[in-house]
Amino acid sequence: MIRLTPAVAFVLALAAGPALARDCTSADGLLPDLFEGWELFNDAAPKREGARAEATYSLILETDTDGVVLNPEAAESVSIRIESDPALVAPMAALFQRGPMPGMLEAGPLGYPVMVGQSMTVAGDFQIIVDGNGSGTDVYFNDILRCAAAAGLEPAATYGE
Amino acid sequence: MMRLSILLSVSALLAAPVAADEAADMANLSKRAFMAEYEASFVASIAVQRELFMRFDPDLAEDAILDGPVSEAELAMMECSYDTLAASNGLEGLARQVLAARRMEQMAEDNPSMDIVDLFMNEDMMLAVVDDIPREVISVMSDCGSISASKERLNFTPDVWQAVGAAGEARGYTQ
Repeated sequence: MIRLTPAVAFVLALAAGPALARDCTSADGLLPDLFEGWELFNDAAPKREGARAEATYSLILETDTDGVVLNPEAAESVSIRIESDPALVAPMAALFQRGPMPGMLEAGPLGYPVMVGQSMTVAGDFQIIVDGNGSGTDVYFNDILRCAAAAGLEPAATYGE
Repeated sequence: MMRLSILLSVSALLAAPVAADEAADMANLSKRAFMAEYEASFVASIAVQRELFMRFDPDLAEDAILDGPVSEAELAMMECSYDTLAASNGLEGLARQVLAARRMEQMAEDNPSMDIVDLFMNEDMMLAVVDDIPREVISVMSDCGSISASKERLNFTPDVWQAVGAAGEARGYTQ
């Protein structure tokens, strides 16, 4: 059973590195800012509506010295959804707590279990889903979980089969 | 009233626990014979889970579970599990895992209304399938690569989990 005691939260907060400037206790605050080299997909601003925060970022690959985009077709993209609607979060928390079947949960970053093969977890009252087509998925997922851990948002799950 | 009928339905589904001697008999098979049983049960469990997914939502089922032959990675995981548990005198536990797949198959066959939501979120039903599998077996399988093999076989996207979770909530499984 993973329990985020104050002591564990302190250790996780240390592991999270420097204090995060944003408020990590809300869906809005958990939504990370753009990292360097990333652009908002279609110039759309992240949506921050009520119980849900959502962003889709895309990475336009580096340009060569003449400023020509090397491979725009291969641009990496990441979609982030953070839900705090209890009607959506509660069933997922229950799934994590029971574990759907052996072998369908695995250890994720900072003690947050994830569904196998997915950057998807429940932290505190939030369901966090990061989906993408490259390494940016892990980068953004880890950032959100550092934020969640620093704010003391407990993993919803029991991990360990 | 609805809840009562669900519970009755579930109770009727619960399979009898695996007879200890059945697992013991399987544990005494030769490695070749055991592995044949193991592989067959693995194939059957994939087929059953696909069927249970189809009953829930054919569109989601299409991509959720890969319907293909047993992969090299899956075979390696099975053999590693066998060898590891044979060395620790734990083959009876692995036999229980093999028999659990058969039990799941029987449950699905006996109840045409059972679907993947019931299997994943109805605690009684899930326990009826997996409860007598020793934790050591799950741990060994994990060490032998079951999770990475699952990633090749299963594609349970967040949308799939969301749909399963919502259905489980609607059926009262998260109460």
